[in-house]
Amino acid sequence: MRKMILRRVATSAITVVGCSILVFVLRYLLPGGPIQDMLGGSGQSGGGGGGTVPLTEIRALENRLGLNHPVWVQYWDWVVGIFHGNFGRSYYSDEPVRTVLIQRLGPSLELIVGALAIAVVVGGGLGIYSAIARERKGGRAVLALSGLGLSIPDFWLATIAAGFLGLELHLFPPIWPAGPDPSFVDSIHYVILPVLLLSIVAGAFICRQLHSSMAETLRSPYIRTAWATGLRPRTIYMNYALRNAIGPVVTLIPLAFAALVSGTVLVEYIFDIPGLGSEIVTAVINLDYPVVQATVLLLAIVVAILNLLADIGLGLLDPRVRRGV
Amino acid sequence: MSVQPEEVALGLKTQHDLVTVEPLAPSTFRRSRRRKVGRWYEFRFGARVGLAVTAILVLAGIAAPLIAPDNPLHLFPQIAQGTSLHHLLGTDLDGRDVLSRLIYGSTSAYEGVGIALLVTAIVGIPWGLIAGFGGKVADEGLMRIADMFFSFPALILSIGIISVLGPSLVHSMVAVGVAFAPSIARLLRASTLPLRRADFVLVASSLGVKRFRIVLRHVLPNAIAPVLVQMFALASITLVIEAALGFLALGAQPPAPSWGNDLATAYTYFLSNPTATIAPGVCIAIAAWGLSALGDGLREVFIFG
Repeated sequence: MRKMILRRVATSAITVVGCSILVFVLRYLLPGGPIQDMLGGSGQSGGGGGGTVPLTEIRALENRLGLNHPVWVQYWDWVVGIFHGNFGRSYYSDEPVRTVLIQRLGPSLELIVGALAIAVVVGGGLGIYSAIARERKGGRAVLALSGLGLSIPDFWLATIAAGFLGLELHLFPPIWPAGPDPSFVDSIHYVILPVLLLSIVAGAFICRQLHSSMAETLRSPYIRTAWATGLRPRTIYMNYALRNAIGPVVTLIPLAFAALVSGTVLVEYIFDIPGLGSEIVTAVINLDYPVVQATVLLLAIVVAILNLLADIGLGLLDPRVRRGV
Repeated sequence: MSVQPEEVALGLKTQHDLVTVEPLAPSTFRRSRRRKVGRWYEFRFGARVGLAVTAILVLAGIAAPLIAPDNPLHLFPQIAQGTSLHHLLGTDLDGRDVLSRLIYGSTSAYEGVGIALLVTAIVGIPWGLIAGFGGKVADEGLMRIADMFFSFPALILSIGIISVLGPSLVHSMVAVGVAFAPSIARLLRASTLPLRRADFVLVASSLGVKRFRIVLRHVLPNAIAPVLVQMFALASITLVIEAALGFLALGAQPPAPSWGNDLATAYTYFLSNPTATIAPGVCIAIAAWGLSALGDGLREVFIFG
């Protein structure tokens, strides 16, 4: 077990380093570079604005941002900075990126954690139910609904919900309040609809995965034996079948998380929630590359850590994985 | 567990899980040849409907100037009005005809899908071939890079790339194509692996055929089928992502008509014209379903047929 964990930690570390290189180098793959973006105004290629800016000004800015160093030196400085909690400064607002990230993290966390919790509990419960009741109407209905939940574009559902439930029926506040951020307790009121919307897709996914895994397990011979020995149905389902069925689903939770991250970008945009998702969109439009870099890297690291945890969790759940069979 | 294309759409499953590659026996007498093209009668009903839906939407987009009731950019004095005889789906916030914009928007959706798939193929196919036949070091290196790509949620990676290229329909779909390329590379590599020891490859190399030529003429045609099927499965995902990026104003730029972008403004005037919010979403859902049904049908014909 210890060896397996160590090996997994090592591969995760390599992946994270690779991701950081990827995120960093992305910017330098294109001609022009950041200076032209910053001074050249709107034109991305910078052809129009670049010519009018005096060369001395460009050099001065390059010096200030450390862009006159070779790429690998810049990368090293960036990575060292990250370990010191310094992600650089936003090109747009000149605020430290760290401040921006910390400010924006709260609402996104609320959304993702809330939606993931609902998805796991409700989606998982429905998945188990639909597998047990797979021959009955209830089970089939749940399965069909989960298929529908997966195939409807979530951002469309969100716009309709915002329009219909928010604007028409006034059941939920359609957008985040202006002014200072509400406290955690107050914000629950604002995130409840977005969280529910986000949890639909992830929940439907977990439901379907657990359904197929559970249904497969329930067909296996050892379950038939368990029935024959006259165990209580509850014991068979929960202690015998679920323990085996849940393994593959645990490893899929990071994927559900990744989908939730994509979903949050859209949902935050729709409900005007000041989270990481809406920040990254604004940053792209403002050509604020340090913010984009930091956010993308942060999300990739979180996904890598979750993958690691899921694999370790699977090892704890399943002795076969633990022994590397 | 079977993998639904929708699950990939949401970034829930990695794309290479979609198609399983049947390993060839280590030594077969199979000749190097192109797989037979699927026959029409092998196409099941759902796939035919999917093909029809896709064809109708694409044609509608191409023939938009002929069939759309109005110019999609023309500003009528009626702003954000509901359904009427003049404007079957009402008008948007700037007084443009919603139905006309939807018909014109089809072009941007399928154009986006086409660009993304082209980029995926251009980047992913060499990537996979080199990993499969370029030796151990190249294989290991290229697959680790693919792993790195997989730890980014697809939409986030696309947004990251768009931040460099700048928002536009072409740029955003190039970004999506790059983001999906590793999945194609991985799949192609997996399907070339059994061919390393296939007789026709061994014969060709013993005859002194250059490796480059073997890979291109013998390996690629024999390994490409699952990749093509996978591309169709990706098409439906790409279409939804195109809409999502348009929605975020990172894809097609207003005032150009696009389903995602129209949806983004439509819900702000939901009270006065709810159809403007509902209709683009229906279009996206139908178009995405059509492509995925088509992809499913192709998968059956090519891989199991």
